[in-house]
Amino acid sequence: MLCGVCHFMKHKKQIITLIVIGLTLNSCSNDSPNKDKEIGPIDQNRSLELFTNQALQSSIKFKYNTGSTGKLFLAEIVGGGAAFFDCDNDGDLDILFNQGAEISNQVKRKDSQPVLLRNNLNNGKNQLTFTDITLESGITKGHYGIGVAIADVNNDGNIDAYLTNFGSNRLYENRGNCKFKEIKGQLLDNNWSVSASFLDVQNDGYLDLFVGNYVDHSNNNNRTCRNAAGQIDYCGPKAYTPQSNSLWLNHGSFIFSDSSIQSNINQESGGALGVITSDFNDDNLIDIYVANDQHQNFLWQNNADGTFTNTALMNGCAVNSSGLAEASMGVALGDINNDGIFDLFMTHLRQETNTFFSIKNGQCYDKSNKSNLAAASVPFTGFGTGFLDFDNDTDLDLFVANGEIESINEQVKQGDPFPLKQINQLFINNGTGTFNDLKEKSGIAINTKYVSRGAVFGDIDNDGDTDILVINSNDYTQLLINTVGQDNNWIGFDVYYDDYNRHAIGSIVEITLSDGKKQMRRVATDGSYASANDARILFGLGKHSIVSKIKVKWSNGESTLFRDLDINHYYKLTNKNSDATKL
Amino acid sequence: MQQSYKTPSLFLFLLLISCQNKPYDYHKVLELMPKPPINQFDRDTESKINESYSEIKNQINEDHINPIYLSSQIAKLAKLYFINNLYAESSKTFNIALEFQPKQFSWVYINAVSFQHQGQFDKAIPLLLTAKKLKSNNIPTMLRLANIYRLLNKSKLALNEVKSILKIDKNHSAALYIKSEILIDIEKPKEALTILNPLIEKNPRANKIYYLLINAHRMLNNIQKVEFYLQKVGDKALISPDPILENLQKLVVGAGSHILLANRAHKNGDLLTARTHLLTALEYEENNVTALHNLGYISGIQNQHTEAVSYLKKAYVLEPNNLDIAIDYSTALIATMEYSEAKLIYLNILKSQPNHEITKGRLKKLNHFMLK
Repeated sequence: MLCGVCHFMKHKKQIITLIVIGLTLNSCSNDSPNKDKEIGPIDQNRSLELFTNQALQSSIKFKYNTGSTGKLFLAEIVGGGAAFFDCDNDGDLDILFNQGAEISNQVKRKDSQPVLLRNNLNNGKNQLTFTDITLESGITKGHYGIGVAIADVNNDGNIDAYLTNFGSNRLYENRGNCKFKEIKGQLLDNNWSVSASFLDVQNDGYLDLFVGNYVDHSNNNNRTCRNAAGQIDYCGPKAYTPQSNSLWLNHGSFIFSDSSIQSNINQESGGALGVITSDFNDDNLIDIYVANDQHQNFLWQNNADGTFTNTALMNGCAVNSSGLAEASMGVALGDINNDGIFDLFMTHLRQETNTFFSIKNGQCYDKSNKSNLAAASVPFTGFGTGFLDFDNDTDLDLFVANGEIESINEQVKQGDPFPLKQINQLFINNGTGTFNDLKEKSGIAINTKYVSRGAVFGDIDNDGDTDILVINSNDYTQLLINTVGQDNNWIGFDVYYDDYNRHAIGSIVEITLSDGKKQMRRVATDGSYASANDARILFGLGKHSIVSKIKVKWSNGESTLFRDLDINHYYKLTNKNSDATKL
Repeated sequence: MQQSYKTPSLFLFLLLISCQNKPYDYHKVLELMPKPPINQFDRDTESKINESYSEIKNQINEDHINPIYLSSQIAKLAKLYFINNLYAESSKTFNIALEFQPKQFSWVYINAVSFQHQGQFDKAIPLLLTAKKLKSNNIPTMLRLANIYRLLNKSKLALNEVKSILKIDKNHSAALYIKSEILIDIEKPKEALTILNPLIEKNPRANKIYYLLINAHRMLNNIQKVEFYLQKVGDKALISPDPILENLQKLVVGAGSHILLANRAHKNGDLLTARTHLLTALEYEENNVTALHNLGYISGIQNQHTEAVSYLKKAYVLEPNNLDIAIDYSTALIATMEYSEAKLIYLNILKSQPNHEITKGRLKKLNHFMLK
């Protein structure tokens, strides 16, 4: 028999050809349920770079410094975030990065310097470059920095900033033109916070603040743990006690009161990493969803009387369909199938799966497998995330920033001092509520390995599509400029409460296209991970050239209709005027 | 570098191996095989892997090579990588072993699991299908296939696997559980309930089943039932599982496995469980240096310094040149105020490594303290 096999060696070329043909045919006949849409029409005549990294060209040289010195403090793997916001009201997005620091003997040492970059797009230079204005901004050194939340806290038309830290958090008043002053003696939260969100709990016009706190970790109780390979490694969150979250009520003029106890918010502790707010039960009150690390997630439903009730278990969004609490990090909310209801997505650890909840009648249904978002996430540890219609084709796609928390052996072998690098992921919506991971088709920038944490979404170059800022631990930040959105039509809105002189955070905008198709977005900056997004809203219109109707449902339940707006422009929509202002 | 299991070049490779009358360049095996890790594990594991690799290397350098024995040794190394969570290395190594013996069921199966852990389902599925051909009635293979198909949103294929299992054992709980999961996925909650209701009667403590009941009733808008079952499970099901820990628990075979479990528990901050596993490891091998070292370390961070000294002393005697043990031991001695002993250890380290900065610093501090 062996000689018979050897006989065939004489005809090896023919054998190879036959095998290759056989394998090709076999692969062609594979059952592929999601081959319907890969890159869609956008891949016809253009390069495969859907996003290009233009950080260095635009003078963004920020590196988030984890301060790793080998002491293995948990904060070093938590990473950092940033914010897109227009701090000088010149019509373009500036960037505020929070910054880590070396953690040595004193864990909460004050030597972390956040960085503020002014966008030069609209200040005469007409180019996407940034100038570092940290020194003159008034934003000073503080404790080890993690995240950023932004809002116009005092309704003066200038967006203020809140920095979450490993150590006490800090609130900065924007006094105009990106000049900040720290507000001391308020929001005295000394917990370790990661994500925070401004929301109007009582619809009184002032944006209150929810702060997601992580675990009780300090120099005094720092532990070292061993990984599965027996080496000393970072501890998991379970090595520490989770902290309860905080809710601060805004009384105007930067006066806050701690409502954590009265509101019931402090009754549960889970190790919060991600926070997102929306009216989940359609009662015209903003609720709070908290993504916890290895603990059931919370859905704090607003009871209208200043109290909240955690209904996550009852509503089905506390744990996955198997009843398992996973390590939730980043969180995103968006209407992915344009059915008028927001869906919920959160990122998890490698070997877990990211979870996608479809929401119907206030109940969450785990559709992670059905959406094709589960299997694709198994090799990755996800952090920052967001729904965005990157190709402006009328449905929301998804971006996930990845980076490990346990050493990757291959990188250890290569002598990488920070061996936690993974590629990021861009998923395209098939238009049916399912997604395809674009993998290498999304381009080099997304497929370059980093230890990514925060991800910020917004139209940084004001060209009508969504760009992404990715904060990489111990490495350069990426500014992923969208190169495909302009192939389709779009319309954008800056939604304002005239009454309060600020963004209408918590409101919802719904547009109706000429074919009756509807899309919905919320006015918000929260979600993702430790970051704050562009407060403006962008709708991709595909090839539609007419938007029949624009309806703003304000956070107090009232609505305003707008009509007859040209496409491919931004508009300011306010609650006192049914005429939109072209920006 | 990684060879695909179905490439033409592999086919040629297999033919070459089969042609005993033609010499085969076994050094290719070493080229394809991942190099053993350096300083990635505790000494015990590291030395096991290095020994296994050296053994393979030695065999390849011998005049007469027995490919069957060689492949068994390669598979042994692949398993070592697997239980230490080095899945990429495990798969690469298993692929080589399988080129020699493609019909070894356990190798095919574990390699599939390894790919599954890496999220490479396109590679795990063909291997599981091969495993199924090799052992047609193997239920774990079918369960794993069903789970992967379900994850990939291929409900029909998943259901087919479950049906095959239920033909063998119509009461197989895990198969029934997956079947009801699939039925809920495809929005047939009533059908799922016909499985789940009897299943929970037989397994009244299985919280995962309660969650499926909750999901099914939620779909049917039976809110009272949702509340009822939520009360039943309470908080018990809400403990996050540790996928790596679950994997390790299935592989408990001796001291090494208990050390891995201890490390995982330690990682999760569960020092009590870590201690229990380390003590079990010592029951298997009373002179296991890693177990002694880790027990000493854990005792130290729990402020049980006398106990720490006793474990670390044993470890130190067994491996006096292990720097980690020496430093941990001296730290424990200082905690029990045995300064002179600690100083001796530092001096000992500096004899062999005179420029060891950490030890120099610690000795300086200790001298200063002793002077006071």
